[in-house]
Amino acid sequence: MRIFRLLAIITLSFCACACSHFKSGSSQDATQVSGLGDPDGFADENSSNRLKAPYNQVYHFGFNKYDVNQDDIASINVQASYLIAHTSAKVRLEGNADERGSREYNIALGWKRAKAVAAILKQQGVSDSQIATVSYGKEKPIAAGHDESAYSQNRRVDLVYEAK
Amino acid sequence: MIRLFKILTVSSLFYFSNAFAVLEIEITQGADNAMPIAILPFDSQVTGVIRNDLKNSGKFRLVETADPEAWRSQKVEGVVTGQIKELGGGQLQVTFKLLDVYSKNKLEKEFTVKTEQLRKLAHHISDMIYQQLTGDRGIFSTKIAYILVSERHGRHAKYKFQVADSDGYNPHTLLVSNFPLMSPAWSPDGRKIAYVSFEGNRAAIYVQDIATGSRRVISKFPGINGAPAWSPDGRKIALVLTQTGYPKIYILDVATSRLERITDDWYADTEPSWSPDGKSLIFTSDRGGIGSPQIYRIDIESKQVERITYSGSYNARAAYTSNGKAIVMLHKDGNMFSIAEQDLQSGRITVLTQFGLNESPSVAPNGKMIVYATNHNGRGMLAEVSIDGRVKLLLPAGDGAVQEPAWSPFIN
Repeated sequence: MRIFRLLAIITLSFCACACSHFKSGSSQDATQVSGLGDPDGFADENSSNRLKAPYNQVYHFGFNKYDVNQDDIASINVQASYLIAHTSAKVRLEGNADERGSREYNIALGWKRAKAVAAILKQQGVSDSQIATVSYGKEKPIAAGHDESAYSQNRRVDLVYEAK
Repeated sequence: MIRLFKILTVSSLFYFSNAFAVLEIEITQGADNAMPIAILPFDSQVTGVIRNDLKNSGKFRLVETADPEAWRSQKVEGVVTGQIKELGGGQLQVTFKLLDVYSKNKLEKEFTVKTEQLRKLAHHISDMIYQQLTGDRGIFSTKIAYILVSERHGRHAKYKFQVADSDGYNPHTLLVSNFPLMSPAWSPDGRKIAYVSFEGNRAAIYVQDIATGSRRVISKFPGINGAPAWSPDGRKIALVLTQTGYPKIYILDVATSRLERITDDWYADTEPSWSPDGKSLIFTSDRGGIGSPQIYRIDIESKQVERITYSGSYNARAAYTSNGKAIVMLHKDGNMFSIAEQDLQSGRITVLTQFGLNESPSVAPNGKMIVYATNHNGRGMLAEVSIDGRVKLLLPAGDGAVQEPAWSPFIN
């Protein structure tokens, strides 16, 4: 009968866990209270990156490619100049991949893309402390489809201002 | 040959007040060599669960008759009977008997349980029947952890980290987040789960106690904190960090927080998984060619690396089967991502799934079934396949996309 006492404990604790979970809506529990949406939106929603700073940017990558498109260099440099002039400004580079393949391997692929953009910012003279890098792999697709047009939109780096 | 079965929706399941099927099992392919057994109804709730368990294992075919003559003609190998008695005070006495027709062995047990424990008892009885008749330990009392993604709008979605019984009942939410959750990994004692959370737009690895719900951060370095995997003794966690600028495998000592880097170079290494003896890790790496990840093994002490997979342009997310003689992994097969098994001695690969985009295989603790995530008609759901490829199940979710299943160890 020992097993059933144990099972009962597990059941009870599951319940206790669920209850305490919903009680604690404290600000420390960031996962519960965080908001949606970026106030500035993203450049891809307006089809192309603005050559203005500070604006959130989207840089796309080719299939199996981890180097930045030549077309995006000018836009990255504009953000770099702003960051150099505003040392309290901070950006987050979010690396992303398309849906094919395993989740954690896609985290590694998104990471390579975010690092490629970070390298250009640093080359321009932006301080390390102004850049945070995160890879979402295939966890945050923009396009929901399962075809190349969706895939090419999802292979990207989002440059997001955390402070301006 | 594919036999299609429709799921039996057992109305008596309403009896279990908190039983709610998020995942409904549908057998898409049954085993041709299923063993005929007869289960004589003694309590609709208990026998309903036992019938579903045994049928969904793919190992059994239910013979619907109480006539001993028909059992003989249909070569029935096991007959289950039982009794249930109210003792008052919400207590029930459940007796069950299994007659193994061939060996003439009898298994007879008596239990006293509360009404709300009946479903768990039924799974426990299924485990005993399965073990008696097949010789393998049953997995009906185990659990599956997974991530449920709903309300996706562009970049944003709601992520729930849930644990349910292995038949999809009794889902419990351990965490709700507006940020992605990934890579749940059970501790070997089944009491804790490590996972990756991106709350605050930073990756971190947490360990959460399943009973209390309390959790702590075990890794939150700049960059990637990913792919946690517990050592077989539960003392260490292998994980992926980018401290050198490249995704590398590390081992964290859980008690001392001491960190050791295991792989070293400029390639992407990820998805570590421990050998059953805890002496080596297998992992995914693109060191053989960019865009073509393969599985490698590293000896933790000598750091010697050896390539394991050679067949196909993409092999990833590998884990050992419970006896350590084979690995199960994600294998690209033409344009399809399949779940495949590779025998380690012969190197022979067996593709276990036929269609679509599949990923995240996780092996049941008895080594007989694999749960994985699949994209079925554009929806993310869980599916299961037996290690011999003969039995296939689909577990459709009620709401949202289910991904990254992780099968628990035996819990007792």
